[in-house]
Amino acid sequence: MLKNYRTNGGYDEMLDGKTGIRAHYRKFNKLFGSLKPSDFNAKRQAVDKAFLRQGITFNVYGDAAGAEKIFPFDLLPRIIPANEWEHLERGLTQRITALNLFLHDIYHEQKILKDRVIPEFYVLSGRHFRREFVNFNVPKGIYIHVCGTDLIRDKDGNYLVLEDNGRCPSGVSYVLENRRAMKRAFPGMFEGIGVRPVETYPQELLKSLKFLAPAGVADPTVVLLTPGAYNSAYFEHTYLARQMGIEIVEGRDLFVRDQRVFMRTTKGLQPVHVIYRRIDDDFIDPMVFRKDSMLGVPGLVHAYRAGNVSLANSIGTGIADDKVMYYFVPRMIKYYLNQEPILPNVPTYLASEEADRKYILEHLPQLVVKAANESGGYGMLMGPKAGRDEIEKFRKQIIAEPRNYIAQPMICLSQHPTYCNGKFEGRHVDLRPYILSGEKICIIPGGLTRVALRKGSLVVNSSQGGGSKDTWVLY
Amino acid sequence: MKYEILHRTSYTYLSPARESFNDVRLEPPSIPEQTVESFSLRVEPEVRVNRYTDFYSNLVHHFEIPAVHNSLLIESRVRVSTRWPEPLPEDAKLCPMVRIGDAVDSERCFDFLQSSRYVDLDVDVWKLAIDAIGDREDAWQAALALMGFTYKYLKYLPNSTHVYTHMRDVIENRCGVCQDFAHVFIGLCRSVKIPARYVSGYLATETASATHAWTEIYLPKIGWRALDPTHDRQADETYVKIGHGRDYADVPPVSGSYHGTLERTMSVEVKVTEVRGQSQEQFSTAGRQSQEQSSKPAALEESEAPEKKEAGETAA
Repeated sequence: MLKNYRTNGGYDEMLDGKTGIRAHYRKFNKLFGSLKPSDFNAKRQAVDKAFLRQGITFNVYGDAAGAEKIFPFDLLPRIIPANEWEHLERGLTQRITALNLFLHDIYHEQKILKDRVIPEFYVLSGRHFRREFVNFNVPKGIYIHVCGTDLIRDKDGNYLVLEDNGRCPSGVSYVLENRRAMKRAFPGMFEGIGVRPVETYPQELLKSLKFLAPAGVADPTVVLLTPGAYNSAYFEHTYLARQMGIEIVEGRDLFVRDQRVFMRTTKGLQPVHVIYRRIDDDFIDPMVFRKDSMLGVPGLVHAYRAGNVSLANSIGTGIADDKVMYYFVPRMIKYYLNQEPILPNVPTYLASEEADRKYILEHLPQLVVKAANESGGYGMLMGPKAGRDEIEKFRKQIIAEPRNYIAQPMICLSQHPTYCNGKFEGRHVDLRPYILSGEKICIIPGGLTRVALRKGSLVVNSSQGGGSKDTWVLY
Repeated sequence: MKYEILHRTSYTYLSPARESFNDVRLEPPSIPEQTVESFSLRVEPEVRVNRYTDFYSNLVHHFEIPAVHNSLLIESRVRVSTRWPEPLPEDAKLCPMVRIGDAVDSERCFDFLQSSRYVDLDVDVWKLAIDAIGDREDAWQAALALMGFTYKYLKYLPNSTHVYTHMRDVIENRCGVCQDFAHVFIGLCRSVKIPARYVSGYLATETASATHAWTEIYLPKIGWRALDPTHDRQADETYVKIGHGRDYADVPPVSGSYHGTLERTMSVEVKVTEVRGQSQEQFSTAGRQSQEQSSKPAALEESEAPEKKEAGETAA
């Protein structure tokens, strides 16, 4: 099947330029290679239809042609050998530990600022630094309960961290659904190859959520709070709630009495103890944050403050999402854990540092510029692919608001054979593992492999024409 | 000086309100300049009130009124004694302007040097500040010059602004009340790197008595000093501080949200009475009715809006 496949620079996940197919892909290749093209096509079409029928979709903001789309799925799995995965697990565990310590610190003693490891300016000027929660003790001391960390590989195959999503990372439902689809399409393949299961995720998530319950609540009621059906990840919200067997609620289904949260149900009022909220800080409580929010629950923040309800993720984690903070994560790891980072960052320039800014402005056509507080591929400049106008627009924005921008060299992401236009071609991929912090840290094997379906494209976001693959971690 | 302060805010809704959540910043803290002997807060309908301390160490009372209600009364009573802070001589040299940046770094003044909700630092404000300072080289004297400039530049005009008026509109229209004077003065100070914060409180004078707003500026080695741009003077023992923040948005006396109509009336009454031994002398009373009408449907809405009118009671 890969007869005419060519690697074209960059690291190829499946093929090694010298020895051919990499060892951890060999078993798969043997089974997959025995498939007739007609069988392959039948399976492919069946999977696509299944996704559409089940409504596994996402919304694209600002797309007039219709909001909901299926997330394109590619049948060729991305395979990670055991030793690589163990390295990733260690690195991600180290990172989330440092991030949680960092958040606790900046919302309490601020030692890392006083010791000038991170300039105070960057934290205090962070759009998502919540002054209201300084000196507040979050349940069990955990800030980020669910983290999605985006990893990429450079041309030598080294894993690098691209960003941390510590607010409401989405995409895990695709991990679960992709696996289900693959199991249906290739029922015999999994056991023979030895792929680690991902199906335990909803139970692990529920376990970490229950762990947060306020003291004295033996059998906590956990709910998932969604902004509603127009949110791009609404499918995922309903999916996870169903998988965990918990209620999915909107702001209007909850209310606060005497600093306790209740849910309106058909059987009357029911107290709520833990909220897995998929709604940003800004919208969670119109009394405290955005006054115009109709999505949140008035009084929720005070109930949280009183310790009667727990939130996952905690309020104020957005500062760790800030792309400027990302720059400092290796320093956090050294400061709090006295370790070297296992997973390095992509080299990053901060526009508010004078020398860096000068470099950025002089090298805009070679750099990737990102707004500090945007996600989903919005607010980004891909220098090498951008037109002159776009570059000049970013130049102005960077000069006007340096705190809000970082720049990175263009990294040629690793590529993976992907079925496009009737044949297999190399397409760039990244990896978003999902990290749960509860009683202990738990990472489901693999994560979401996103693939940029447009030839040569390095943007894998689903909102920007990306698709996904099943991710197999081997025993 | 010893004062008894009564601060009563009452709302009447034209159709019933419910699900009302409120934060109230009315309790003055005990600080070197003042000692709070007693504080009580009464809310009608009667509800449980919780108290917490916010990021700027202000004392906040929180309460919820879930049930349907037609009116809301918030009444605080304070007994406080104030001490005369030794006024600094106007010609004192306390910190050269070129050094103002040094200590600022270590003293955690970051928040009080930035733009904030109602204060914007831009080139125009900076130009105003630079012209007002002229050749003064000392930060204290520069601050006094900026206060004098604010006092002369703006005309005190009750009801000329509302509670959400931004500093830049005040500069353009050149009139406002104490809140606006404070915001403009803060903007001027911050634009030349003098840390400045907004203070809400009470002012007891022989002519007026109401909530007031002024400013504190920071000088290395000296600390925070209270300046009142509405009166062009340093604060004295007739000032009672409730709290401070980056600007008004951090210390509104009452803020929150409720479900219900935007049509409501609000009245505010503030009485500051000087206590002298056994006899009590009442200085004056300020009260006012304000009416807001809107055709908007019932919605979540801030209930703090008319507080500004109250602040506007102070005569310059």
